[in-house]
Amino acid sequence: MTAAVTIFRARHVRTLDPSRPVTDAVAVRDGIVIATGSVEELSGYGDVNFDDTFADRVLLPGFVEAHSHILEGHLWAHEYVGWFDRIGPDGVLRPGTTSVDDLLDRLNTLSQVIEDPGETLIVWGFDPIYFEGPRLAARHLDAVTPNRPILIFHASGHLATVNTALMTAEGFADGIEMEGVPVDADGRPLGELQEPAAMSLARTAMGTLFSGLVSAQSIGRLAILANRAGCTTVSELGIADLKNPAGRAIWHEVLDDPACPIRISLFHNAGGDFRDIEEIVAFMSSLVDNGTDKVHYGNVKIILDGSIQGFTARLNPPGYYRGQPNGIWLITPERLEELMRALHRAQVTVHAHCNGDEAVDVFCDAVEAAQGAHSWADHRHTVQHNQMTTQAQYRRMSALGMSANIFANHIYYWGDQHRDLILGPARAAAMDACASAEREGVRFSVHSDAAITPLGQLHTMWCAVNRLTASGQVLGEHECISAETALRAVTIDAAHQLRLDHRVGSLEPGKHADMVALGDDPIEVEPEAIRDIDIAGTVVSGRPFPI
Amino acid sequence: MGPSLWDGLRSPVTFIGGYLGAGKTSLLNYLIAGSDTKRIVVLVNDVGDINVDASLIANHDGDTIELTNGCVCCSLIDGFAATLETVRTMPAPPDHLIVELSGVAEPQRVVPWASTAGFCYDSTVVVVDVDQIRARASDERLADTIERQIDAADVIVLNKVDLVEPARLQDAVQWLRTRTDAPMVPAEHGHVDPVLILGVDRAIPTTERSPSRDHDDAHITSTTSLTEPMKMSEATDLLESLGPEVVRAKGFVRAPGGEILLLQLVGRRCRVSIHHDDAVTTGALVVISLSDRTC
Repeated sequence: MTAAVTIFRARHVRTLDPSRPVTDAVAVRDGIVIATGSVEELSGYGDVNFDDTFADRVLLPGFVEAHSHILEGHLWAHEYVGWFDRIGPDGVLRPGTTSVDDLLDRLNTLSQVIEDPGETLIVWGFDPIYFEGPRLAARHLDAVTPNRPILIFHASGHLATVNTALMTAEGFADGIEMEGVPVDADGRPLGELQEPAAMSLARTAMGTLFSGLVSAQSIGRLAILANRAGCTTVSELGIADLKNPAGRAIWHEVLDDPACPIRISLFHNAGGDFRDIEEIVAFMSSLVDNGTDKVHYGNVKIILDGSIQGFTARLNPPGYYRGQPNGIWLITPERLEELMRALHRAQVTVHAHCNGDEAVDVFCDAVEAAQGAHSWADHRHTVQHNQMTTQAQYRRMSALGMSANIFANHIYYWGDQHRDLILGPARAAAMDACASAEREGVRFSVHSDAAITPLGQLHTMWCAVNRLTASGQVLGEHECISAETALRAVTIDAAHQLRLDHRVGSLEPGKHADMVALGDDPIEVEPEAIRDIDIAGTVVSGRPFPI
Repeated sequence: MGPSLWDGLRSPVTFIGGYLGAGKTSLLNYLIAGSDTKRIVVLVNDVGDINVDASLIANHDGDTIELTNGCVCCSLIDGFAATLETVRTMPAPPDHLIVELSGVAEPQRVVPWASTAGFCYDSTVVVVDVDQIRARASDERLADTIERQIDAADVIVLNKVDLVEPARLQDAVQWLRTRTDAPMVPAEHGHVDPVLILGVDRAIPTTERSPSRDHDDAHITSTTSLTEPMKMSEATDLLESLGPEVVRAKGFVRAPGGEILLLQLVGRRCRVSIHHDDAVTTGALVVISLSDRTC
């Protein structure tokens, strides 16, 4: 006997299906969309029942995040102390930490609720690029908790500040001669640990912070955060341990359960994979067989350069704002070309992290060479981040059939800094150029790179549409896009890059019944109000997950 | 951990850098296969690149290879922090830790790892493919990376000298000389006298010879007596006065106040520090020089 058809009623439904873009309801059976249409129309599809969980909301396809990381779920095992307000998996808003005093108050409060007086307090997201005043040092932290070790993990990921109790516990409070550990006149470390080697001195705390990165708890928190953001498909752009069956098993354990409200696309990080190329290709081929409805494999990630705000991205002339030296490569062009050739021939889609425009050139060269050697029209190779992708590069990407995943959130979170310190006003205005991508015919999506910025497609859409920095200034008005385009960028066009557009990203017959329920339609509100739309919950495979 | 790790002993760390294809792996294979006096631990990006005679392999377990001569090769796949932690679990400190860097890695960025618990920085060796270096350095995308690698070198290995005409070799050497004072050691197939890369154990004033290797007399070892007490500044001056053919130097001398000074030189980098272990022989500086100075 066929299962009954469930009709999800709503105020209206925006389907992202061009043949019926706006309608009233969605009919679902066995987790699949049967059809969208009026209630009357849908009642003809069989024995129906109604799900009115979101009857007074607007239903859209569940949002798709094509660049995120498990770190977004993992870090929330500890407390957040960043500049911007941020909501945790528990739904509680953490107000931004906007001064050293703020931070110390916060630490004091947190310290008091930890039972064991010797237990290390770890917090993350600290971002002093935004505030003035003295540089945070151990002496500030010592005033709060003389006995409890403290580790502040900065938002950049390349800096940590620790207190004297931690330095004493790890044996370097009296002094250490090492680059990345600034000391006072007496040779005693000030408490700042710069770059990974120095940060590793805080051995125990760093171990605690990064152990169990891919655990049931971390994945669970990621799922909750996604649900709160209205996101039903996420991605992990760079987990290397897919070779190990145990490394994959944990994802299935959590996600294959219908009670888990997300699907994920797991990328293999091939840049860090030094095996023989043919071995990598064979591995990718066998990996795909392990995919389920909730856990998708088959795409590859390669990192070409660093970050612009870290001055480690690879830039073409004129380079950084005041002529600072160029950044670093993370892979040689030769190895990249070799990898691309083999992966393209094996029809594996590659997403490449390219922050600087020189990196974009090198990736496009590799794609062009690969395409020249073996023809694969629907490759969907994607440039990730595209902070500095130029007009000429978008034209080239269009000709090569490449996609762009654009880091629109940067405009808000670091737009002011890019304008004033890192790139200068002209290049900053052209950052994350969504309108140009659209004009030149490059299919694109927009992302959070969670946990670098929070997972949240409404906010990312808002960034791409309005291009307002944190200080409220418009950065590059000519690159603003419409709400319609932005909505496609967080649904069907994001799904396309993951090679999942036949399964998610729009509400069409035969696709997963994945939806988000919003208080308002993002196409119908004022552009500046997009990020304030209320999110009531999601539906995944026809199962509602109200918040 | 902390002070109790290896009873306070620290393993010297040498980084091997250089662009893709320069011959870093060949150099590493050569060093570990031929090692009979030192227990070397090598950290590599791809353990699959380790290519020594099968008879030398004692155990190959996934990402770790143990050789019959005591050397060990570990994979860097889990990153520096985790891999160094693994090395720290070894019952005894390696006589030398060699870290192979990726082809685009800039040694300056990883050198701080050598100051973490259980380790001390020895040197950065950069392998250069003399046949390709001019072309590489002219590639706009790579020029600054290549130059920063050369800047970081304490010692440069001029590899593949067998593949180039003398004039081309001289051209490469001249170009390198405009960028670095580091001693340049010619090599074929990455075969380099290990003493030039790894130095000598302690300050034992003996002459090293390895008649079975194909680089006889590539280096000259000499010993300078340091009978008089020296101040730190005098010790530094002495090291800086050594000629450009000197690749390594190491010795201990008493300072006027009675403390022991450790003198070290690798390439153009010298360092004088206070040495806290009394159980050393003072009064001599062992100097290792290139015997054939083509550069």
